[in-house]
Amino acid sequence: MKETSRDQQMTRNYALFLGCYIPSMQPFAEASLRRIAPLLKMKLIDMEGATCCPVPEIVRLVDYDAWLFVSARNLALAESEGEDILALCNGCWETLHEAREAIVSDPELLTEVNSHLSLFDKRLEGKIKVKHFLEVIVEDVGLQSLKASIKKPLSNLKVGVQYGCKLYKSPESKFVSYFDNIIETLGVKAIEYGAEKLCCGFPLSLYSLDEAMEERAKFKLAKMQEAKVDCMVTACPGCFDVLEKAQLLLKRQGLHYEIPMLSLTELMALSLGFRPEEIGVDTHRVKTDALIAKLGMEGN
Amino acid sequence: MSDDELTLYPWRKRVKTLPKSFKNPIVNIIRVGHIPKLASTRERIRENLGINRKPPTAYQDEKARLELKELVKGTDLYDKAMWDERDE
Repeated sequence: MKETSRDQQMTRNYALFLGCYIPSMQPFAEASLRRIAPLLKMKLIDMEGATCCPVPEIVRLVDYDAWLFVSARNLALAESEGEDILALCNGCWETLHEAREAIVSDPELLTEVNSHLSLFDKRLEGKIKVKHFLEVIVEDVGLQSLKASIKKPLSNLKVGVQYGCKLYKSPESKFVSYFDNIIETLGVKAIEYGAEKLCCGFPLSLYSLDEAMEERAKFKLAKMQEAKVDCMVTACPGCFDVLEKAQLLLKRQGLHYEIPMLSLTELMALSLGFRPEEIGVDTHRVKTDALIAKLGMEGN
Repeated sequence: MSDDELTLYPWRKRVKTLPKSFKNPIVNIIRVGHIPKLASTRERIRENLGINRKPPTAYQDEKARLELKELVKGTDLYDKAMWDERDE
């Protein structure tokens, strides 16, 4: 378990980058983050006027320059707040982190980007960092602080972890280890199901949802079902979206997986003592009743 | 996609013709600032969870949406997705 010198820390500020899917499709992930943040001494500053990161699987493929310009605008918004970005979404982290690296490492490109941003009185200097939520929890908040905040140990819970491909793009895949560290700290049992590294199918779903379900989601869901996980946990709204849709749509083929899903922030909020209805666990499209019952958190 | 990326990820290909399934997400990004439009049912869920009915992003900021549109006007992204769209 990684220890950090910041375990006895003061409140830290972050520019919260929500992205697209979390605020519009998975508000429970946002609500749970906003609930746990003060307990973990994180102050979240809304990035007013932020847009789609933009989604790398579409925009970067279609037009690299447009992808850079829109990313740069989002980065400039955080820079004007003077705070590092906290990205709650794997795809947003990838885009903003990689766009920042590309722009800041190339003075000519930085000048070109700024000539576009100047039309809107914005400027990018590359002063702030882009941090993934997992990175913030392990490196800034600290696992000891997280452990000290736990009010309801969920040690009877068996979860299947869906890391999401982008975490493997972090240096030496450290975000994958961070995910494991957090699960371990929460005292939850991660069950090996044998398809952890398989893509959920989200990028493919942007081209064809049917193919994504057939080629990716179906196999992954079947492996989790075989492993008898109580629920799936992910830190990626793209994975959440496609695996949730797949569970609902594959019923047409007679496939009933019924695997409740949690975003990592929800799992943390439950551990930190929030009730399912406070953070929206009961608003998921795949039913969570059995999970809530297993946790002994039914009713008010 | 940059030339560096093509070297790093040789299986990735530049998109020359816009796939049909890419059009709506791009049009939404240019018009709304985000891929999904915000449904009223989700707004109610947000409100019930004690967070802003509309997220504090381009969803509730017209100036931000106009900025994004201006930023991408004249790029391939805009031309490929918006050529047959009515200006709103």
